[in-house]
Amino acid sequence: MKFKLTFAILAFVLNLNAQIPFRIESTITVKEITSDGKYSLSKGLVYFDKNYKKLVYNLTFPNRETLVLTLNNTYKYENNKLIESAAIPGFIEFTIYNLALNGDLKDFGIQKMGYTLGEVEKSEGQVISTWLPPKHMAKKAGKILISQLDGKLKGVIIYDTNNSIVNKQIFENYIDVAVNFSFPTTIYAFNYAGGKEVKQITTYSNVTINNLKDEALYNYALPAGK
Amino acid sequence: MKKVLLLVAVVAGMMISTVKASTADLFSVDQVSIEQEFAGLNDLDAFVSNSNVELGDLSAAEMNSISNLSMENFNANSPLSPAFTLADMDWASFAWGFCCWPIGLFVVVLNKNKSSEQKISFLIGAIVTTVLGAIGGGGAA
Repeated sequence: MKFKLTFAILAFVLNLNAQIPFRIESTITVKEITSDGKYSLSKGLVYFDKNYKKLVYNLTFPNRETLVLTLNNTYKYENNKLIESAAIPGFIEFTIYNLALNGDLKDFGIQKMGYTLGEVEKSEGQVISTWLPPKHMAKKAGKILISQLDGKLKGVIIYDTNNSIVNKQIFENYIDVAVNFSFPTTIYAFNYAGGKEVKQITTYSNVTINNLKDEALYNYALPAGK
Repeated sequence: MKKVLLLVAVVAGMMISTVKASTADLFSVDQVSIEQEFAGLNDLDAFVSNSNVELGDLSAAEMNSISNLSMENFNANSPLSPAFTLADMDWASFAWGFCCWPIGLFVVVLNKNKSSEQKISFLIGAIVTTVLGAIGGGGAA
């Protein structure tokens, strides 16, 4: 009887754990074209576990290499050999993966960045909110518009202090990866600052959550003490 | 008089609806134009996906034949420059770092063609985000 009860509780906990997304992996492709005629293509796999807080990119193009970003450092590996490391923080909290896993993607975590809500309007089914920078940032940063469609993040538009758009990101083709967890599989990004336009398309495919295999990829072994 | 008021109301209503439509339009993407513009990269992407090659495996002629793009315009190499001051702030990089770190990672930090100044701008953007996050309640997590 005790065994059955323990088994039932264990099964319940495991099932509950399976429902709450805590890690995500996906294939990722990033294409970029700049107005000066340059272009780039990056392809690979991305792994992230919000508990380990290590963002791992296994790139296959343009070069086969693994990039590991942590809260405080960035590492580059080739053939499992550490090639480069730098004290460049990974800013893990602000990755799309961490935002999504923590349920903060809907507003891109803007509320937690100190911005205050201004005007809100409804337009063509979208709820568009204007966010104003905190006072100490007002001379450096402009407003940010956030659009939500069907309760999901549709787009982010960042303005400079002259009210010109410097960056626009559109999130499309959401897929329901699990109950209450959807993820955008196409992100269009446009950068207009600096007199140069940069257009970028990021696509995700084979998005999976809570993969309990491949532990070594989610908790990538880093040099001792890191 | 009533007719004039009605006309004013109709015109005002039309103006308001036009303004609202344009706000939503800000978040639209011209798919046809984008597809045309990215056609070469899409071809390269398809080839790379099927052949599992790295950039170094491709010759300039192959690149051109696959995608109609020139190898010399592919962002692959760039020297690093340590000089940087706030006056040289690259707001493009700053914006990337501020609101879209993973995308910014590819665009700025991993892109060897970006200068050190751009990379540092990006990091400053991310740092500002961190500070604001801390002020606003302990980060986004």
